[in-house]
Amino acid sequence: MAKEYLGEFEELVLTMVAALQEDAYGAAISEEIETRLKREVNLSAVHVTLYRLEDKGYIKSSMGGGTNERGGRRKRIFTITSAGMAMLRALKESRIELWKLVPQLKMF
Amino acid sequence: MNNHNYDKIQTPRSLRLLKWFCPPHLYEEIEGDLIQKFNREARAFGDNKAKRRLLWNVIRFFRPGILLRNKFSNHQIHSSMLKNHFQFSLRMLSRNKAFAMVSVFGLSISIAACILVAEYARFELSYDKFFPKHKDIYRLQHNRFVNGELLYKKAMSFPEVAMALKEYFPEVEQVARLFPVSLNIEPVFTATLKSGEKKSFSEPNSYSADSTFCKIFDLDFIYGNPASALRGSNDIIISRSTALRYFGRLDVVGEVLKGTGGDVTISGVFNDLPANSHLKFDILVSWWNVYEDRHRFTWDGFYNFIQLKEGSDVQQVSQRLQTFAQSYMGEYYKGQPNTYSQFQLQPLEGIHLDSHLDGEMRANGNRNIVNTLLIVAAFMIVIAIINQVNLNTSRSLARIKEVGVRKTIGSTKTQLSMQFLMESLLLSFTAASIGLLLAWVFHPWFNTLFDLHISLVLIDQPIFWVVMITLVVAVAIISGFYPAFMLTRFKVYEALKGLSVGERKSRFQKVLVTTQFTISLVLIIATYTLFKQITFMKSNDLGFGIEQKLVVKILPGIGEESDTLFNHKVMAIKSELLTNSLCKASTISSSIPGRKNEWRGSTRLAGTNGDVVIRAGLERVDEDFLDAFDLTLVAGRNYASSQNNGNSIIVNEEATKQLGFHSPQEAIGKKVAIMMGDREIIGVVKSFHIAGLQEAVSPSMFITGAGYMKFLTISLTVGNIPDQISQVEKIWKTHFPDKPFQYFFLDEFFNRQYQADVLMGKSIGMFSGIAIMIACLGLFSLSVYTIHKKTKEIGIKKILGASVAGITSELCGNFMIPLTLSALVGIPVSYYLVTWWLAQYAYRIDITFFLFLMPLCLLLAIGLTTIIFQSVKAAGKNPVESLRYE
Repeated sequence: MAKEYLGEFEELVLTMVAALQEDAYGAAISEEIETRLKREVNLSAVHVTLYRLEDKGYIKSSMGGGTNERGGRRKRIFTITSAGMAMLRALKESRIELWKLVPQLKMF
Repeated sequence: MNNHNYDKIQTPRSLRLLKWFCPPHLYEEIEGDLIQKFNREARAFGDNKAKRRLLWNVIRFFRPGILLRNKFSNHQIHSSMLKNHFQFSLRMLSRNKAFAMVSVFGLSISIAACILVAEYARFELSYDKFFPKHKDIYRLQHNRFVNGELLYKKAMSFPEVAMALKEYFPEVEQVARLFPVSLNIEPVFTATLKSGEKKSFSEPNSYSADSTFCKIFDLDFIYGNPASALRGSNDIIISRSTALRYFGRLDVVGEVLKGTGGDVTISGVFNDLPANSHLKFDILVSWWNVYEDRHRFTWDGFYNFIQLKEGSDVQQVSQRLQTFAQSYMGEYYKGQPNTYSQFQLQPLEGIHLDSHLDGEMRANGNRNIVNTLLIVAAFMIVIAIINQVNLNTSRSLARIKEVGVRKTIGSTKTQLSMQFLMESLLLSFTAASIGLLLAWVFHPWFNTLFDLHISLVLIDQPIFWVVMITLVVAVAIISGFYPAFMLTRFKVYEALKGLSVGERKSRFQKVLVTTQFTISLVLIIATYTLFKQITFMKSNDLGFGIEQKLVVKILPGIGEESDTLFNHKVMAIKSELLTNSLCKASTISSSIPGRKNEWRGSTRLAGTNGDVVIRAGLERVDEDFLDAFDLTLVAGRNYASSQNNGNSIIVNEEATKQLGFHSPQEAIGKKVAIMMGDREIIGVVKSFHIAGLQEAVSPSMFITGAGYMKFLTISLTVGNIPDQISQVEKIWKTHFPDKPFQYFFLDEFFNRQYQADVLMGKSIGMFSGIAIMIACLGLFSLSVYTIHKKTKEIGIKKILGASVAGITSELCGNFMIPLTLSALVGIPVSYYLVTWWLAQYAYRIDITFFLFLMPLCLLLAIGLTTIIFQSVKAAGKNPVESLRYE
């Protein structure tokens, strides 16, 4: 149904979802990316990517609790599915294979 | 807990903006994230910057990835749902067959009628437009004035004007004349076939034409060359049907026909002129001089056609035409200083509908009638639509519960609307298809009934289909509006409980029915008036006897001169007829009452110098004329015989009035000056309508003597008509073995004058009938609804002791209001309409109160019958059942 590969940003967001586990929601993911990768990320881009990933079946979502900071609004928490996990694994494998070919990036 | 920042922006504009475009199911989380971000940024950068960034973030959310997640993709009408809607609609309609049939019936008839009327209008408006140069072709109209007053307007003009125009006006491209050969002579042509057989026919549609005629009017030539066809002095071109009639084939160029005045050679064969042309000729002979005598130069008996160069300024030309007329006619009006002529250019395309002058080629149509019919058809559709709305609305009340149930199960408003719209769409589509079918099936009958020649050509135009589809959809939406959009708003609880609909709805319905009734009332009054007017015109005392008059044409044909031998033969026939029991009286004359386009000349009292000039028709008759047509003398005496009346003349009463005599008696013995000299008035006949009731009586004069006589009229005794005709024919044949026996009946001939009006009357009558029927259906549905609503009330009243009659009359009382209202509005409107329509008739019926009362009573009667029927049914119901209705 979907393409067999993900865009760069999609891959990034998917990884963050897998990483953050119970804290994987729009604002959090956006903040994490900003702090860790030092790049400007717009909240709307993250949201849209999350929905797209959900459409593709790599993640699923459910409504979580609300906090005061959010003015009482609940969060939508995303979790990775097995398909998503498989995709991440595949991605990791292929990346490493490719990097191995580059002499300067020798891991060992 | 640091909410203070958020508290400051309780309803931020940004978030309201977000709410507007954000999909509802994602709204909460997005808003939450934005608020969280805002709070953190407010701590980091301060409130203002945070607010700006909030706004920016919201704007960034305005992107396809978010927008397209809005549920309007849910409004997508999934095809499977459509199918379900459709199936359900079918089931609904088949369960309520009566309702479905009634709805479809009303609408389809209106549509069929509209289509037919549209075709008729298109046909009438298309006259003469198939000529390629039609935009630049004009006919010269001649208006003659005497003493400053308009004497007449004629479609014909002088023979040499056109040529002069070509010389003086650079805008004129080409001119051509047409002269009706059959005016004074009966053209009969004989063809000799190869087999030796001779075929002769009389050709009343023969005209003499300039060779340039074919340059202006492109006739569709099958054989022969249009450019040279009428150059030779003995050339003749004939139509396809004519060629077939004589020769049985079409390649007849070069063949010779023996005709009036000599032999002519066929130089061309053209395809018959189509029905939508005001020109109607089968034969064109090349031009010959009818007017060699100079004194005929001022005879305006010729059709002059002018083709202007493309792009010429017609207004300009028309203005200069006036000055031209004065100089051109100057020389010939020297002897008559009080007379002058005006010329006018009539555009070709306007002739059929707008031109009603003297000397028209044939009776023209009437633009008023076309317009009126179009309006009537439009009204019909309006009534049918109103009816649909009413019916739909009433019926849908029964489905409130259905709406409730559906909503409970989970149907959305849109789906419900779709359902109802689908039903009305199905209905209107079916009605339109049936309407089309009806139009197609019935149009031949329509043609015969109204003597028309229309065919369903509009179907070929794409615009027709566009209009049809728009109409179908519009009708569906309008009639389905109430159920689709109002009904679906019901809250589930109210719907299931069956709470009644608000008062507003029934008032709306009342308005609709009132409108229907007003329109119906106007239509009934119009029909009734028309009917009375036509009956009046037909049966009014025309002043002469119209029944049982057999008229035989006696114009001399080929090789025949109106000489003594010919005349003797005719007289012999007349005497023989007089001895026969079938003949009460018989007369030979130059004209018969009812012929509109008769020659009229200016006449004045002898000895005066043109002070009192009247326009009087002149006819040649014999001593039996008055007798044969049942005319009465009011003064003086009749001719004793047809001879030796060279100094005498009989005039009609109108002539004496216009000549200034105070009584017919006074006129006896006075002299009038006519073309042939002065004559003494020996008798005055009571005025009769020589040209039908649409015109006022005009002065007429009657002389005897030699000249072209055209008709032998026989006043028949009552008897077997076909029998009588064959007897007359036998007598005819003994004297004129080779001359075709052509006859007609005076009353039929006369009625044809009213053809357009009869058509109008019949069609309006038909449409009114349909409109009334539809309006009654509307009333019916309204009464069903109201009574249904009041069932409980009726039940209780019955228990308390009310009678069926009492309840019925109370229910009827309810409807008096709409009916009264429609009367109040309808009567003034129709009064205005009727006055306007009748104004065009010189003789008309009076507009009496009765004219309006009768239709009103009719409408009331129909309305009440419908209501009473329903009321009685409801009032008679067992109260137990009424009250059980929960």
